[in-house]
Amino acid sequence: MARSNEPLWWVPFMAGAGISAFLMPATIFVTAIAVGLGWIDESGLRRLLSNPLVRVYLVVLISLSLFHAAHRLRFVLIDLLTARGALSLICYGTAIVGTLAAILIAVMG
Amino acid sequence: MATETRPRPYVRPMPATWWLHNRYLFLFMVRELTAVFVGGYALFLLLLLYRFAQGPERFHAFFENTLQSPWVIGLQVVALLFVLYHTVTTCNAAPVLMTVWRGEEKVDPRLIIGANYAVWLILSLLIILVAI
Repeated sequence: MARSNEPLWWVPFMAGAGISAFLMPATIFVTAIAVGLGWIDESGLRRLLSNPLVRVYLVVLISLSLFHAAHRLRFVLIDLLTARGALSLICYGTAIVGTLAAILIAVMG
Repeated sequence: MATETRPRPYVRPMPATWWLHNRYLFLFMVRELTAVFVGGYALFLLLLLYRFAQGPERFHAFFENTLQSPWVIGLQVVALLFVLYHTVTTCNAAPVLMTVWRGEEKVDPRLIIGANYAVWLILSLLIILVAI
């Protein structure tokens, strides 16, 4: 039997499921509702984004959420369109490139 | 000469709407489609980091034109609803994903679900308090 690489993708998928489930609603609340209602102004948001801990938080959230979404959407596309081929490459590739971009931007920005 | 008569394998037709006719399949697909919003919002956060790294002027324009745009706020609120569904389904699935044993007995699944919601609420409060 051919060895499957499925378990390799399942770990970041589950980690991403948990991290996005726990952290993403409050984060959306901050960037949508708190910013929209003026509870956070531009300088407040800039102060947050210059904090190294906030950047680490965002990199972790972005990366694991992308891996989670990549894995789920891969199976959605298989279920709906019986898509195959370069699908895995596109899904996980986006997550890997997104992770590298987030790390680069967070370190250099 | 005999022509080759290899039977073509039968592929059962599967219309892309198979999940619309059954409540459980529909809710399953809604849960799977929450990934569109989880991934989309992650890319939005990436854009936020990028605009911040580009310097104060670009960030100022991004804040006024994008972050404060009613369309973007509305889209984020829609994303929030889908992500909340993802949170609820993940918390409710927790006892299946990780069985916790206390000695010889399984811990009550309701306790595990409750603990997950408690952790979620505490983390959410912390995030909002730190940010505001």
